[in-house]
Amino acid sequence: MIDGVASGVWTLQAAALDQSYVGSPMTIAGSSFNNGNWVVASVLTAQTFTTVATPVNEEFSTAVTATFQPVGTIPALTDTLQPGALWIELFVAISILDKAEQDATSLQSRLALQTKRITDAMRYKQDEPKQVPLVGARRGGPGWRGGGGWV
Amino acid sequence: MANKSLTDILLSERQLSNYEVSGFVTDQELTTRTNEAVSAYYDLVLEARETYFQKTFPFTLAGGYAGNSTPVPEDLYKVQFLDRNPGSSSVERVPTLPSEAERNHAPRRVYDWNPNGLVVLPPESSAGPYLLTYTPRAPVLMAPVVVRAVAPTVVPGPPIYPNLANEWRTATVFNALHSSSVQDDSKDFVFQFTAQMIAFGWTVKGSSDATTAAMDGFNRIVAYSNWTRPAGTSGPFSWLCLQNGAGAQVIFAVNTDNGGGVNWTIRFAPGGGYTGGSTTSTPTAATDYAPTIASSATVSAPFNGGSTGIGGIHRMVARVQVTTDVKQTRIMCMFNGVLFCMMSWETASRPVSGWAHPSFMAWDTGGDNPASPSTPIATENEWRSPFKLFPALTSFATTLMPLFTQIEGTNLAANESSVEVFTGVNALSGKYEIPPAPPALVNYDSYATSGQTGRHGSMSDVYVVPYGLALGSSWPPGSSDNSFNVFGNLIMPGDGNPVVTS
Repeated sequence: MIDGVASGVWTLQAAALDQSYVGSPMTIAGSSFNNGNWVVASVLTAQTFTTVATPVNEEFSTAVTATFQPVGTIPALTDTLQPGALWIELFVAISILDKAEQDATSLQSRLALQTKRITDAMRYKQDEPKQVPLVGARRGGPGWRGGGGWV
Repeated sequence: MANKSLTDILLSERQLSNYEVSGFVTDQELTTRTNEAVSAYYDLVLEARETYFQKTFPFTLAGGYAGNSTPVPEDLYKVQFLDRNPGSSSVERVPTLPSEAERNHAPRRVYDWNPNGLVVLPPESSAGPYLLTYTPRAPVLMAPVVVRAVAPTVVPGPPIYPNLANEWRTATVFNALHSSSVQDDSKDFVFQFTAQMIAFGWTVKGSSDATTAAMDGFNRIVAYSNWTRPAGTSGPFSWLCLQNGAGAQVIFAVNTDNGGGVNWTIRFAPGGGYTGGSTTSTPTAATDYAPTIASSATVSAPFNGGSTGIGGIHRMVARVQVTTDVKQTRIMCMFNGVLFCMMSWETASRPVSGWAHPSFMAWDTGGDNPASPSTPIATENEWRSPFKLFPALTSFATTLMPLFTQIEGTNLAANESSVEVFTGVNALSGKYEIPPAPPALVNYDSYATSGQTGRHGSMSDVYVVPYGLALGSSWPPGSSDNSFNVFGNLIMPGDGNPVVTS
């Protein structure tokens, strides 16, 4: 068996594919003709599969790698989740310490601070408490050039 | 800075909890906890600002009882609102169904949804374009699966027997002899067989028609007349670079083009890698070879015809070239009952250890003029009989395979020159498992057909055994488990496997 592409069928001897890989994005690197992004169209065996686009026939050298991303998952935080990286890490670190029955007070404090930072940043400014109206101020008073004012 | 990957996040979590080098928690468990944290963070943000992650999903309903619903996006977590006639001056916010009791009596246009779909009520007033604004589900982090290619699995054992899946494809090309001039004859000859190589799986890596040249995968040699060198040996010239399924590349180029015929430059890179090139130079590769039959890297016109008649180019290539480990392309040129030219590009299936790119080429013209070749490679009768293919093995060994044969690397013992490795004698001795394919196929019944006609009909997948072996001898001799015999259309493995009958 030879790793590579033959007549549209990819072969990777070290792979352990199943039907859950159908639809998975795949990135090929180190290839002579097939570098780039592909999408798995069908899994024929644990070591063979086809892609939506047609590849070029090629025998792979051992420098070739195929990177599969499981369907419906992401390998890294998205732009919208990235600001919460520290919050996520603290959340998990605390759960580790809880499992080990160790004190997590310090991390809990940091998590509380991060929670406040995030919720403050997300909240609409108009949601914040308004200035209490000054009662009894009159136009023409100190700091005012005109008459009138709140009553 | 790039967004944090799952790997980076797991490392940070271990660092924060001081379990960086501990096996107390596995990465699998941490990944599960991390996705829980992502979901919690997601809800925390949504609580503060519901629109932060929002996405939209446009759809159009035909209306009526059969057309008032649509599937919802796969990542839908929660619907925020639904607009009808979006992007127009009459955009309308559609309210949700106030209660299940009103489903069949909705007083105005409303919608209801669940993960299976969204429905607009009442059906008779549901037609129109819509824009659903929704909150998607929290994403799931998962480390990608990286698979590295491994070296081919080489299992010494029986050779690949011909069968319906691993057969030899053949093609016979007629009228290669153009007969208008010796130049045209030679150009047409090379044009025909390079076209057949392409038809049988070789890919074009680049070309030159003496006007434009590039390694861009484009074939500029679309007619024999595109082979040219109009201004002599110092001017621009045509070339064509092809690659087989093993990655080996060969270049054909016009060296001289005059009334005496066409001389060709042929270069071969077993590992491929030809780059560059122009209208006045062929592409170059780090490791390539030129045939050495002459003092220069050129050969005489392989088909300087000049006489009337029909020449035949017989192409054959292993179908397994694109599926398993044997890769062979052979071209045999026959005229007036004589095999006068043979070319071969082959890849060994079980090469000598240390041979980085186990491919080689061989070329023997047997003389320029097919009507009267100075040294015929074989006569028709010699090709007809599977048991009497060559007058003697040494004929094959001394005239064909050593010529132009190049081996990459020198990982051979002192007495094992490249010529010796590829002589038919040594190959048949069982000393090396090369050439991987049989020395030849029986396929010279006529110009028009290929294969061997026997008692059960004609078949094109006949291995031949060398002259001198008695009936029942095996190939290669002296080996216990990698031999087989051919009798008519029966192939009998020497290792006890079932007889191949088709």
